[in-house]
Amino acid sequence: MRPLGRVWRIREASTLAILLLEILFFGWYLWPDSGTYHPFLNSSNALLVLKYSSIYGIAAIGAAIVIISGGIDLSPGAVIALASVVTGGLFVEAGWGLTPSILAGLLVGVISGLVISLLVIVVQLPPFIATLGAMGIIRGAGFIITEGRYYDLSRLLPRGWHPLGIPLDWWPPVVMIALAFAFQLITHRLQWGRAVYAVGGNETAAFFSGISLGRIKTSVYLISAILASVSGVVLALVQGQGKADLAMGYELDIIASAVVGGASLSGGRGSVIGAVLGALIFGVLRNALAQIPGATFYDRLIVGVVVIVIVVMDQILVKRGA
Amino acid sequence: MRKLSVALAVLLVGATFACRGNSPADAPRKYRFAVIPKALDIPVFDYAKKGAERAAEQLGNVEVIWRGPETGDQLKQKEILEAFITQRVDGIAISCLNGDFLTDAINRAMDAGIPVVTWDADAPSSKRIAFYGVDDKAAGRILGEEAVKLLNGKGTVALMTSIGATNLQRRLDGVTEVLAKHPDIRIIETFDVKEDTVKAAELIATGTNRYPGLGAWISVGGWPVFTRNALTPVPKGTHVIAFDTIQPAPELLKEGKVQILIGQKYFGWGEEPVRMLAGIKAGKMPASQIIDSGVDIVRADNVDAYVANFKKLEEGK
Amino acid sequence: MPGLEFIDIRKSFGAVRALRGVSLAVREGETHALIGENGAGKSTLLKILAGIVSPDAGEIQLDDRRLSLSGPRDALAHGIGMVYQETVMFPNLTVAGNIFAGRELTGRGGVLLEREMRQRTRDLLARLHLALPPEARLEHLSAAHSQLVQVARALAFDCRVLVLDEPTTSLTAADADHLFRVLEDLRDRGVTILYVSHRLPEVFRLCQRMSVLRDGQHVGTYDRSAVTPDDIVRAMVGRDLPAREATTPPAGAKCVLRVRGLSRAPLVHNVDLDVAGGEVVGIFGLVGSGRSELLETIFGLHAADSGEIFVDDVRLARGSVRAATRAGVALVPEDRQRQALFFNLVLRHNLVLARAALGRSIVVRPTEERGFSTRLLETWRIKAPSVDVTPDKLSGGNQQKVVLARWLSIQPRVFLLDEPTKGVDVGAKDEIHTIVRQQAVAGAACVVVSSDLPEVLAVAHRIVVMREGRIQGELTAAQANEHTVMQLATAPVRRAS
Repeated sequence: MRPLGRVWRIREASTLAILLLEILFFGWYLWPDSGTYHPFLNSSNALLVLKYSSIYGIAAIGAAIVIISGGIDLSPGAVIALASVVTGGLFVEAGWGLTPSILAGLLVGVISGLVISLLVIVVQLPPFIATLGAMGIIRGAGFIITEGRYYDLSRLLPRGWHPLGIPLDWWPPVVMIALAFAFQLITHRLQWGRAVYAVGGNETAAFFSGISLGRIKTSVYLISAILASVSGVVLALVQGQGKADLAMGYELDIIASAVVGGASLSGGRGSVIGAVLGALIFGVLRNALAQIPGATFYDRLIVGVVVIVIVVMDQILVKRGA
Repeated sequence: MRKLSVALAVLLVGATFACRGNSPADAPRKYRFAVIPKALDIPVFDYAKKGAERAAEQLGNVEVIWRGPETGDQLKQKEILEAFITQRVDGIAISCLNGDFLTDAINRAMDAGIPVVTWDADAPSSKRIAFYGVDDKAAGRILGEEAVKLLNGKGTVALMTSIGATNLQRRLDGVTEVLAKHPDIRIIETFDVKEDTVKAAELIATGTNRYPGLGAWISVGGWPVFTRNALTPVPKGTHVIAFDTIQPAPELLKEGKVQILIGQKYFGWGEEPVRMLAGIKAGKMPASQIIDSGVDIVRADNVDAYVANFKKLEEGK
Repeated sequence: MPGLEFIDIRKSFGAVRALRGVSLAVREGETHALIGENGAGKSTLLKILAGIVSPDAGEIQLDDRRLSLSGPRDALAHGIGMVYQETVMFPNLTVAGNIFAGRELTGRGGVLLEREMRQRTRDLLARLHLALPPEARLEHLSAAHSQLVQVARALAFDCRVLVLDEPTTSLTAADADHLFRVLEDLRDRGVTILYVSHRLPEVFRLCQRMSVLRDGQHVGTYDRSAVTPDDIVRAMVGRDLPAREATTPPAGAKCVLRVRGLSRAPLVHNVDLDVAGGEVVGIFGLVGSGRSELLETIFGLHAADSGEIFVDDVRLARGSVRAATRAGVALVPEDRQRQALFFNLVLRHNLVLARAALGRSIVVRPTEERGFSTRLLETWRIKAPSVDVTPDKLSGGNQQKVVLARWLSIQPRVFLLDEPTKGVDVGAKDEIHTIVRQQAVAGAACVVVSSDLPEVLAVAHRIVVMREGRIQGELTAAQANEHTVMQLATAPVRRAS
């Protein structure tokens, strides 16, 4: 196999390479005409990119796992919003303590995941339809609860809060990176992870091998929903807002991150760390484009092109290596 | 395959060199001011953009970067604001979707040495240097008083707003404060438009159905008058009092579909903040923290003069 | 020379040399057999003929004109009609729709000429003695009829060479018979037929000349009148196979698998089965007799409606594969591609899956796994580049051995095999039979479902015949022969329990 094909095979490596190339490219392109201050390559910008990419990145971990198992999840955006609403509402209006509010927000993920699993496994709806419907219900629930208002958590959270000694603004990327490594380990070092890849690769054969399809599918949709709710809770705490219309349309970017990171929509392939790197690739893209006059509108176009290019390269380099 | 990738790489590099353009090596440094509207899809702000760009032209040493979220997404607006902070622009002028939400970020900008002024919608508890816009509550009161006059002190009224924006809330407060003083005027419902002109049209249609004898529609924003057809279902007897005088609103007023329009200083929104920032850079602080731009009250008797004046401003003073 | 000629065809897939310079000729109007083990290169040669794959070197000539095929459509256009083993057609379309799929008759503006197509279909079906309405939907037809519709499709447009690839694999004897009558008819009318098959009785019945491939090379072409089946087998395998011996089971062995009154509507009715340790029971029956469903129910893939299953006198929980595997039951399913192999996982993962399904460990241990799977490759002589390739790189026989190896690694007490040698070459077939017998000797209770009567006769101590989900009867190895077994398999069903 040609060496390029072999490296591409290690999806994490190739996705990281693309990310680094992208940063280098924009670093060069946006080099300032004068002065020593680089508007793109500086630490506060890096933190900015990490902070805003984490909203997608945390949920992309779950999306990747679902896609590896052969399914698909369109609900993460809605779950992020509802989790932020529940945490915000309980903390701000019902006067609950912070920890119980956070746990309630995570419970949103648990319940959503269970509902979706029920629809997919018991009612036997195709995952696309099940999660599309769930998305509507969950998003709608958020609007019904808030009636269009939003909950302002920032008023009640201590100023300059450093939970566990880490500045609040750093929490989203810290959570994202920690979860990425944790789940990378889980999917590769536990039999459960192996079973997920097997179910995605050949569901019939998995069934015939004694793998419990119901258990695996329930677990992946649960994980996806819980991770989305983590993203929502983190969003609520860090940005200080619990709103029903947060994360509208994020599900497509989340899925695109997973795909760019190596997940194949036909199942059986993918990587959790790749998905997070994918989210960063798009985050860097958005940030850099915003600094090029008139280029913000190319954001969606370029994301689409990038996804197609990466999937095509996938097909060429991996298949050619065979 | 290898040939293909080399060709692609060459194309990419070539394209970027072409786009790079030439750096003005010897031009004197221009101040870069970021002007951030609430959203790019709200038509009134296009005039603010014109005003800002004209001010920049006249000042000569200012470059205006006009950037906002595509739709009224508070989180995206905050992200844009923070991005400008890390890009270390020379000044920021912003119309806040939610002033409280942006307060932290505005303070961070100020702490980093970037002067911030707000326009149209304020963030009053932040460290921003000044606010240029209407006194929303006073404007709201004007709306209320005009409505009272038209209804002769009695009748039913439907209010229209967009929940979440502080300035709209203040206007609404002004309206309700005035109407409360007239017990014969009843507010039957307050509709939430969610900054969506299409939704506004829908709500007017359903509202007219449900309340056939409605006395007046009072809208604290221009959504009903941004399009021609939103007011079609409204029957002759119902009055319409709305904010904003951007076309086709004045035409609708001439046709009799609207009775009162409150106009803001649209060009001023862009011009004044830019001038303020330039002044701050030169060492001159604005006269006061709150600068009331004032409003224009447009009725059937002065609409023509208003439109003529507007055209002049549009074309360049 | 009129007819089809392959000249020095070479083809490699990566490191595997599938065809090493094959030259053979099919005369116009003759019925020519192509025989060889899987991995001998038959399938590759057919893929080249069908235009799916291009040869690395060499050429095909049709009527002395060089054939340069750019794809399946091109092959069809040149008159090469392919009939495949598995039906590769459109179940949702009608017979006429299938025959004309991709080559619809159109009038002006691209309008479909439905009536013309239906008429042509009727004519074709009549030629093939097939009484089917052109409007019948393919999914409602039997396997045999679908097969014949494939033949009709191949014949529909100026067919120069009709190529059939193991067409009788999924057919009953009666259906195969019908197919042969059709083919004999075509042969008598002078159609050139290339018939690919393992089944020597068929080949000898139908074909005038036969070519044997072995290891990617053409070993020889023989006239039917000049050779015996043994000669052909020797040519295929390159050596004499030892005569099969049916050993007798140890007397007085304990019953390991006991099934009582197992029912699962609509496919299994009240089945009683006893298999002793060390015994190989063959289950024979026509397609649809419920044999696969019986094995799947014993394995726990489906929950039985009633009845009980005992392994070593312990009752198995119904409908639980986990319980079955824990008790030592292993099932090698019929369709290894769809039901047993994971093409997105490397061999290593495929091999350890049975162990994993037993759920003994939560964590994956990579080095131990690697050693384990490499040992399995060696023990069962599976020809694969390494444990890190995916199953698609292996031949059919080796893939089947991977599936067997996976289950053997848990040392099953009850070894269930469903058509274990389907699509497998003669050499590997023999190895698989040996494996089964070895397991029996080691004390396992083996149940082999097969529609290959000679195979069942050769490998089993006892033959159970099923029909319509019921056990029709049993025959010992001594009592069983072609006639007695077929008699039982086709006799009217005994309704009495």
